[in-house]
Amino acid sequence: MPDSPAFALVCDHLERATSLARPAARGTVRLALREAGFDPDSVTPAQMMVVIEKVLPAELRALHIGDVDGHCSSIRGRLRRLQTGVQPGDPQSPEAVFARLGQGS
Amino acid sequence: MTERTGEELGESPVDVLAGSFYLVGTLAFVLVSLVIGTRLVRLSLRTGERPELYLGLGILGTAVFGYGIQIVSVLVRGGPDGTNVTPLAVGLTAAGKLLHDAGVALVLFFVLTVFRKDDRRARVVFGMAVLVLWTGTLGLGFTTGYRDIFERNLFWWLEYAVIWTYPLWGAYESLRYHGMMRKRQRLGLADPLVANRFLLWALGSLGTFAATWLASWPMVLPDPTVARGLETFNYLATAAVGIATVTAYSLAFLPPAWYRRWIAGREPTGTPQAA
Repeated sequence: MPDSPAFALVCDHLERATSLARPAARGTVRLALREAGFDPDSVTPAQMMVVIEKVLPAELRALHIGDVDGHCSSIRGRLRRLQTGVQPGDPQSPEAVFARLGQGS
Repeated sequence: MTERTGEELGESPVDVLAGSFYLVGTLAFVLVSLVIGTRLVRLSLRTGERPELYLGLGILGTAVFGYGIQIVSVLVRGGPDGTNVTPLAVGLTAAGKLLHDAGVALVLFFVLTVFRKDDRRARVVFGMAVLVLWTGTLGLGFTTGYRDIFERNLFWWLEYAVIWTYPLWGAYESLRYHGMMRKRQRLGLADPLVANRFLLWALGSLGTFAATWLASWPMVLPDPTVARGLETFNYLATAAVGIATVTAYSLAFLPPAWYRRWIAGREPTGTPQAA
């Protein structure tokens, strides 16, 4: 399954701006997403913003990456730009479908 | 749920009680499924979205028309051991089986489209399951004409290989997603009621799996007298599981206000963020 744009964006940043190689960058983001309960193929920019804020910093510090706050701030800025061109939510996602299932009339 | 009613049970008070409980459980299962299936189809008509249509029709096909018509066909035959195998009874058996298995395929399609829509391997699993199911159903029709409801040939085994296992896929996916939603809740990214709905649907699917096994395993026993001896226990167990399943589905799809408040109140997280 293809990666979501938000996942690809964060991996791309970590690969280019830190000492992490591509597999390590992807693995780190995957771990953060798993910790937060998301899949790399479906996470939205808005959801990724919260992961960047609450989960990813600890993962990066554990890897002794410098200027974690600077990296996260930069990623958030790019995610915000990505977010403006993205629909707020996929109506076919499992959470959207199950949210509707309780609203039958 | 099998196609028995309390009338076919033995004469002891315990047997009569078990039969009555079984009848109540079966009726509750069919009626609640009718309400839920209808609501989901209406929801789909309102929203224009397909997943709720697949699930609604799947529930109507399996639990309402599938079981309902097959129960009527057994009654028309004069009971499970009845000899009144009229064209009407055979037609009802055929219609019930075809509608039930169409419902099974739709429930599987719901699971595929909601949880694994871009997964090629899942599509293969879905295709194989539907192929085996319909080979069994149609093969049973061609070889027996649906005249003997106790015929256990190769096609029957193919059909039941899917009927006995299909709820497990939905249960697994829903439990997995429930775990993800619990993690999101800690970040304020998930609605507790929706997270709980994944759990309830998984429990309902496991209940469907258990009820199907309890109701049908005596059919494969080589000695019918053994099955007869276990009948009362089996009716009680099937009815209890059926009522628990109906309760899980009701709370998932028709959550009352007190249940919504209870779920919202016991969760540590606040209002979910807009993500």
